[in-house]
Amino acid sequence: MAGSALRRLMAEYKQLTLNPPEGIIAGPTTEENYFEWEALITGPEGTCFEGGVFPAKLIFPSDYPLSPPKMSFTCDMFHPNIYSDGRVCISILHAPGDDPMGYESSNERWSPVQSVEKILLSVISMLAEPNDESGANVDAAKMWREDREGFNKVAESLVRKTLGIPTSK
Amino acid sequence: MSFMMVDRLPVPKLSTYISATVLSISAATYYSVKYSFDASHESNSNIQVNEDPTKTDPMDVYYEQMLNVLAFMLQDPLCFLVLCNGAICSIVMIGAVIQSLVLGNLRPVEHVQFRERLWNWVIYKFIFMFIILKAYTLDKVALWLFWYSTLGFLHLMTSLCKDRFEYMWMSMGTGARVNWKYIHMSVLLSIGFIFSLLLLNFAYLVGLTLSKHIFAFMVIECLMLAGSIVHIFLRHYIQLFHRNSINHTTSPGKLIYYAELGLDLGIRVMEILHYSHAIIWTSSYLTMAGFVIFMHMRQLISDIQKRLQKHKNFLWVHSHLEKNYPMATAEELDTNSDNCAICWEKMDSARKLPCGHLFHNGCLQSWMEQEPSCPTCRLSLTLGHNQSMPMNSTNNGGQETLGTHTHIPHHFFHFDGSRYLSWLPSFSVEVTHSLRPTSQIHTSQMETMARQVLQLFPHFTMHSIIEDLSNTRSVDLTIDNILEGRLVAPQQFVEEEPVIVETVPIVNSVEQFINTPTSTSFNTNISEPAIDGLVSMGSQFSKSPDERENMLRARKQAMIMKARQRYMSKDGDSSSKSD
Ligand SMILES: [Zn+2]
Ligand SMILES: [Zn+2]
Ligand SMILES: [Zn+2]
Repeated sequence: MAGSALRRLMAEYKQLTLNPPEGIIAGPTTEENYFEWEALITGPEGTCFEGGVFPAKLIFPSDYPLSPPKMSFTCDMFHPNIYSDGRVCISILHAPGDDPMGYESSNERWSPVQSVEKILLSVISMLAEPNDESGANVDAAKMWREDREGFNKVAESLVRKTLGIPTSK
Repeated sequence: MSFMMVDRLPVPKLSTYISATVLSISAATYYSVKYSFDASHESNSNIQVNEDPTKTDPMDVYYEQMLNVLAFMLQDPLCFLVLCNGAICSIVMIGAVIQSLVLGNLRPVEHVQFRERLWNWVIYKFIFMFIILKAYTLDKVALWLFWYSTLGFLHLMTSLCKDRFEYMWMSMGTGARVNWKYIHMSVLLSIGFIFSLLLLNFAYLVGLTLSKHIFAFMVIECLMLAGSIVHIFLRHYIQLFHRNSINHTTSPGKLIYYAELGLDLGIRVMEILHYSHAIIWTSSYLTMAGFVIFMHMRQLISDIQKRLQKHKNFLWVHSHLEKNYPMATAEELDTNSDNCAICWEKMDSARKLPCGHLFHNGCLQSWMEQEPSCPTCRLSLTLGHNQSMPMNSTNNGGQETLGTHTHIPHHFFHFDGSRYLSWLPSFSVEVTHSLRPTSQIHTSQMETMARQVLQLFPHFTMHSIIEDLSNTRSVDLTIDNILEGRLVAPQQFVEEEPVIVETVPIVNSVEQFINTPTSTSFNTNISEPAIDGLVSMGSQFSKSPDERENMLRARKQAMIMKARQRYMSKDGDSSSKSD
């Protein structure tokens, strides 16, 4: 029920504000609606996404935390586990019942003990190490496997774009 | 099937509708004044001779003429319909006033839903009126127009309130202003409830004199309205309970649970009765209307089945928990200092699972209904439970599918009527490529569609909307995409624009926030520590919503600023090295 979901979201917001994990800021887009959050995720260091600040949106169901939120990046992204429209495909965002790809073990699936923080941390690790078995973005997966150089270039341009810095060349 | 296009029809602007109504009424009045005057003139001329001396007061004559005109208007079918439309128009105006007083401006989602509900109501009731009720005479048309416009008005108001309640449950706001809103809406709903009782009375007075069948139709429609209003109140009560209850040891109580279950099922059963009555009465088994109604009844029955399945699941989980997993003892609670992992709140009492994990009884119950395993360690808790119960098909009954993988099937037109009004059927029509060549939608058509979307979501660009429309080919699916966040408003940072222009306002606001008076151009060094301070400023969590919002915004901007500075300096380093 929305009532208990609200209390839980408030608690998570408070925790994320008081002890923000490195490179993550998240909170409701407006105080009017706690079921829609905006998050900023810093690209992990030592990867091709290093330095970028990527905005994403989280939409929570009214029975959260029983069901997982949906997450999508609101900036351009090129990554094997991110659909071209920005939706993120990682196992933590999948309810235990639905297994579209059939490759994830249920241990990594959503459960109410997961949280926004854990989701965002797994997204950061996903940025660092794509799971190229997932077919969210086939082109990106192919490029990641076969043309790492080119992939890094695309990532670099995305990083510049999120920072509002025009490409140097 | 015409009603598939329903949700794409635009609703005419209120002002246009009102002026059209006023115009039509005045035209009808002029017409009937002219004709009735001619008629009375003719008849008068015959008897004029002996009546002439008795003619006295001009006011009387005037009054008489007015009556004549009115009588004429009531007899002439066209004028009569115009008058009916005038009555409906006044109801619409009352509705608009109430809406602006109680609810204020509608949000885009509400606007879209309202439009769909309105059209569905109009078209379905129109079909019902002429095919089932066979309203072919003027007085019958007037009766049913009155009945359905009042009922529709109340239904639309109720569903607007329901939407708004649901939206308000999503915000943390309490405060006097919000409470006032709740009170306003509760008063509105109560008035709606009283009106539904009045309509019941009307059904008794008017419907019963017409026929028992019509009486039954009317009664069920009233009861459905009243039921849905009570349902909203009940849900609201449950929400408030969840929001304010400190510990989750109890659920809102058996009585409330069963009351909601009863209403849920009751409303649907009433609908089924209503429709089967309609079909049997008119014996329209093999007609178009019969088909539509059968489709709808099938949907209703499957809803009821789902709800019962969910209830069965609830009962099973309940007894399963009671039987197999004892409540934690006081010592166990003492040694366990953690909060409940589901709701993150303190546990004064808890249920203990065999793996040693503790949860609130209520929290565990609602999770188990979905998936019988320990939320923390995923130990399966299906002990003695026949696995035949379909776990996922039951839990989300009626709710949207939540997985990230739900794509809108592009070549599949789906009309889920129950989303708009609970009594509407759902249709799915598969459209294959051979039926619909890719370049089918004309560019100009596309543009008009895009403009429709643009009206609702002005912050999107025409380009992005057209792009999405070319995939979805439906205004509605695109709006769905926008509402569900698959289509996103244009980015804050556009590559083509010069950097300085966009960064200045950001620098400004960050500076405003930390109150350091420096010049506003980019690259004047905002001291690193200041930004650091902002980013890690998490140390406070303000009680005031506005302050929280500003703080979050400032932190975000600071993060972007910092990342940009770091990037620039690194970029500078690497380029100077390469030089
Ligand atoms: Zn996925
Ligand atoms: Zn709990
Ligand atoms: Zn456990």
